[in-house]
Formats: sequence, structure tokens, C-alpha cells
Amino acid sequence: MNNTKPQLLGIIAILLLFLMFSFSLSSAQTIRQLTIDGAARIASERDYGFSPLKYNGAEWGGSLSYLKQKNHKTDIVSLNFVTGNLKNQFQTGMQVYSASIFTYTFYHANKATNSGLHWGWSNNNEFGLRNNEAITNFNNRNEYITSFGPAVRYQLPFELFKREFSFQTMANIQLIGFTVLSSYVTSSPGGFVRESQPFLKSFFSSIGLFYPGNSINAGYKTGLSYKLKSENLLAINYEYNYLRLSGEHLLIKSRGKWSFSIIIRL
Amino acid sequence: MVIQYNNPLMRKLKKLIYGLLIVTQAFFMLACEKQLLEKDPEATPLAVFDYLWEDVNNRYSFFEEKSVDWNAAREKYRPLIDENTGDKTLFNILSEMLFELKDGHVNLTSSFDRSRNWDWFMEYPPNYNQNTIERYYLGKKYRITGTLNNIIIDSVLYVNYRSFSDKISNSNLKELMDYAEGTKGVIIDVRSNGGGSLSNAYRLASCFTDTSVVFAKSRMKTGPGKDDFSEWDEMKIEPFNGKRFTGKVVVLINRKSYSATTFFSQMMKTLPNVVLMGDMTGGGGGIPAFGELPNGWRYRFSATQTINLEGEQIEPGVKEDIYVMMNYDDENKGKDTVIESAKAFLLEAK
Repeated sequence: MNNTKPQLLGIIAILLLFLMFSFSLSSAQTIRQLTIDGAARIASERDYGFSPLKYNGAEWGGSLSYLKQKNHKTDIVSLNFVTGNLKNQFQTGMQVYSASIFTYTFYHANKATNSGLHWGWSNNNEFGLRNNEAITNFNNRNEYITSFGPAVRYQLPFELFKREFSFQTMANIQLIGFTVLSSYVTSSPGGFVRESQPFLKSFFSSIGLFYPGNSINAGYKTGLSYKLKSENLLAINYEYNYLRLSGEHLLIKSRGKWSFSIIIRL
Repeated sequence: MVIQYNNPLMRKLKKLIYGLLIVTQAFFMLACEKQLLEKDPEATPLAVFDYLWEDVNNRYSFFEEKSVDWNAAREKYRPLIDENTGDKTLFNILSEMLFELKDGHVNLTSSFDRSRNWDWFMEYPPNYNQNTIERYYLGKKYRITGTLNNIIIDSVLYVNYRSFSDKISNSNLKELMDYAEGTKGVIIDVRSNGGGSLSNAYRLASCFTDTSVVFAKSRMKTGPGKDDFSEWDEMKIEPFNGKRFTGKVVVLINRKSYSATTFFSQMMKTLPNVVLMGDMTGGGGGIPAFGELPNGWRYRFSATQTINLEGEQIEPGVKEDIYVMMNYDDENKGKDTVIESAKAFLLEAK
């Protein structure tokens, strides 16, 4: 009674296509950076499809980001993965997984490229899976979102002991997009409840809208980077994200991620 | 490029931005991720009662079929609870309320007990004796093919399967089909098999058909309204990808054959070469979903419906084709009346 596998394959295919598309757009950049980071995340989630209780705990993961900076704009694409085991106040466990492709585009025509305030937009494509250990049937619930919204970045380069540092904060609030969420009762999205339907029909009938008042995805990332003599950078970052999705059951996530990054100039 | 801030206004602005960033950082660095989600709901006895009643009211799938007045249940049980009701009393009251659903797939689980409704088999004769099977039919030399106990008795392959939670692999089935070749029939004994995974039911049934067969239709709750269900969706058995047995098959069932075993019985009943023998199954035609209460107790309840090809719910059970009850004189002599009847049926069949 569970169609999670084809659904997962479909979502992974969409994410990969999106990543390939993003990289193909990045073929004519002037400054390019690749960022590799390892992360620890404190997360708190509540999925009313399972329980009215909060599940809290630590998660681990990493990400790979690609930055392309031209005189007039900066594009950033990051691929993220995080997993962990959360528990409610009664110590019931829930294994969680999250994979996303997050993009930022900032515009800075007639401005300094690496300092000051830059406006732009952001896009999040995220798949989340929760597996509640105390439940037998329909024990996993999942969500896929693609959302868009404005973003802002503030960069503040400074010198300390004749070394170059940069303080950077990026914030985003995503207001429109679409979702594919677990159904009212089952793990599968609503369109997949009828197993005899073709995959594409099930997929499209599972799509829900992401709009203000219904859902929100907002967050910010701030970090301090230190430039090495090799022109590569080391950075420590904190990233907070708040996600609220109103599907058949309300899902809320509040997550704060610490990461350490190595930024390589390509 | 490093920007130099020589303008006094810019320097002040810079300090302000620094300050704001530091305050914001401090807020989140103190693990405020948890604080930004609302607190857990209160777990007072009345709040727990209301949460359970409401969720079952919204997601349970058989109110109409079982003529259960859930509002009346609320009126009956809620006044028994107040803010001073202790855990064990609360558990008993909630269990009594859930009992009104007359459903074996409904349970309440706490750290100290698990409520259940076992009327679906406790009110009927057992019609099965595991000791008789072990001592007089399986004996010492039976084969254990994965989770399927089997032996050839008088040219008939007897298969005893205790739980659909026990995984059946394709290699188990290939071995079983090889063993069945040349026999005069197969007996599959799923009496007192309380169910488990539907995928094992599909897998086992797939060995006894050469064609894809629709055996039932199902639908699921899609919203809180009493009529909020998905459209009926066909449930099919697909033929096993390997050797299959399309000779005569007898499936032995009793009132303790429940849940996935009821589904298996419905699958097999649809096949032209299969006969169900014994007493009807206990039911369990709704797949259970789970929930958690504000005090950490968990519960489950049926959230789907399944109907047979005649449009009848299989929740009350799948009816046998040939009714056979255990004869206690036979049992005392080490004979299982139902197995003997199945053997006779297969050996006489043309």
C-alpha cells in the first residue's frame, strides 16, 4: 500500500535535472567558488499527521555549494543533506532525512561585489522524510517543496591583524511555490493513494500550492570567513530556517545549523 | 576588495548593523530552534480525551458501516473524566470508549497497558490446535522454508504459516513451488494467523494464479468528513515470476485469521482453483493508521475500507466456502478435522 519508492525516484530525478540546469547556466562566470561544508543542526519538528508533540534533537550532514560572481550579479547553488534522530518529551524517536537544492541570486550592478547590501531572490527545492519509530503502518511521512521569494545579502569585509575577513549575512523569505505532501492518512501523497493510476497523473494530482497565509519558508545564514594566502577561504556559519506547510496536516520545522566550510576558488 | 568606512554616518551604520547581527546571533545560538515552535499541548485528562475523540472522529473509516454513534460515545464517557482523573482510570475510560468501535485494529498503548478488542475471535470456538499440528501433522521431519512450515502428507502439500509479519522471500516461494509439483493439491493453513504485512499476502497468493486478478477494491480516508474518501481503487494479484501451482488449493481459515490474513483469504477466494475451508475469518479489512496523544500514549484505528467483488465490506471477515468445525473426538485422537476434510476434498477432486 506504499508507493514511496517511485515517488522518491521522481523527486530525485527532478532535483538532479535542476542541478544540471543550474550548473549549465554557470558556464560563463568570472569568479567561481566551490564550498564544501560539514554541519551539525539542532532541529525541532512537529508533524500533526503523526502527533501534536514536538520532536527535537541533533542532526548531521553536509553541503556542496557553487558560487558564480559577475560584475552585476552573484548566483549560488547549494546541495544539502542532513539526517538525525529526533525525540519527543516521552523519548519516542523519529528518524529524519532532508535533502535540498537551494539557490540564491543577488544583483549588484553599480555596487561593490563583495560588500554592502544586495537584493535578489532565492529558491528552495527540498525533500524531507520522517520515519516515526513507534508506528507500524504509514510510519513515514514526507514532503517535497519548491518555493521562491526575495532574498537579501549583507557583506562586511574587514581587516584584523593584517588578515582579510568577511562577515556575511543572507536572509530569505519564500512565499510562493508548490508542495507534494503525504496524504491525510497514508505516507504517500494524495495522488498516489490510488495505486492503479499512472505515476505522472498521481504526481500532478498530488501537487499543492505554497502561498502566503498557507505556507512559509524563511531563514537566514550568517558567517565569518577568513582568507588564506592561497586565496581559498575558511568559514564558520550559522543558518536558521523556519518552515511551515499547511497540507492535510500542519507541518512545522525550526532548524538551526552550524557549519564549517572550506571555500575553494576555481 | 576591502571597503574603508571613513564617513562618520557610515561608521555609525556599521556599528548598528554589527549590533543587530550580534543580538540576532546570540538569540539563535542559545538553541532557540526549539523555542520557536509552540509548546506541546497540555496533557490534562480532558485535553487527552478530546484529542483522541476528535482524531478518531476525523479519521476512522467505519462509523457508518458499524452504526457507531461516536457523538453518543463522547456524551457517555467525557463526563467520567475531570482534571483529577488518574492515568490508569483515564486509560480505562478511553479504552472503553474505543471498544465501542468493535474493531480489532483499534488499540490504545501506554507504558503500562494496551487496550484491545478481541471479541472477533474470543466469542467463537478456536477451531485450531497448534499442538495437534506440531505433533501429528508436521512431526519431526517437516521442512522450514523461510517462514513456511511444510510437509507432504498423502500426496498433498501441507503449508502452515503462522504470521504474515514473517517475511516470505522469492527463493522460499520457488522452493515451495518445486515441492508442490506433482502433488494432488496444496493446503495452506492460516488459521489463527493474526496478520502482518500485506506484501507477504500478495507474494504468497501470486503463486497460485497465471493471470492478473482483481480481488477487491479499497479506499482511504482523505478528510475529516464522514464521506471524505478516495475513489475505490482495484486491488490486484499479479502472477509470481517463476513456477506457479494452478492445481487445487484449500486455504484453512478460522475466526482468528485476521487483518492481512483476511486480505489473503479474499485474494485466494477470488481464484477459481482455490477453496476456503473452516470458519470465516475474523475480519480486519481496514488498514490501521496511528496517532499519538499529548501525554505520549499511542493509538491506532482503521483508516481505510476494503470491499469484495460483490461490493461487501470485508471488515467483518471473509466467509468460508466449505464450513468445517473441529471435532473434539478427532482432536483427542490427534486428528485435525479441518485438515482431514481438506485432504479428502483434494484427493477426491478431479
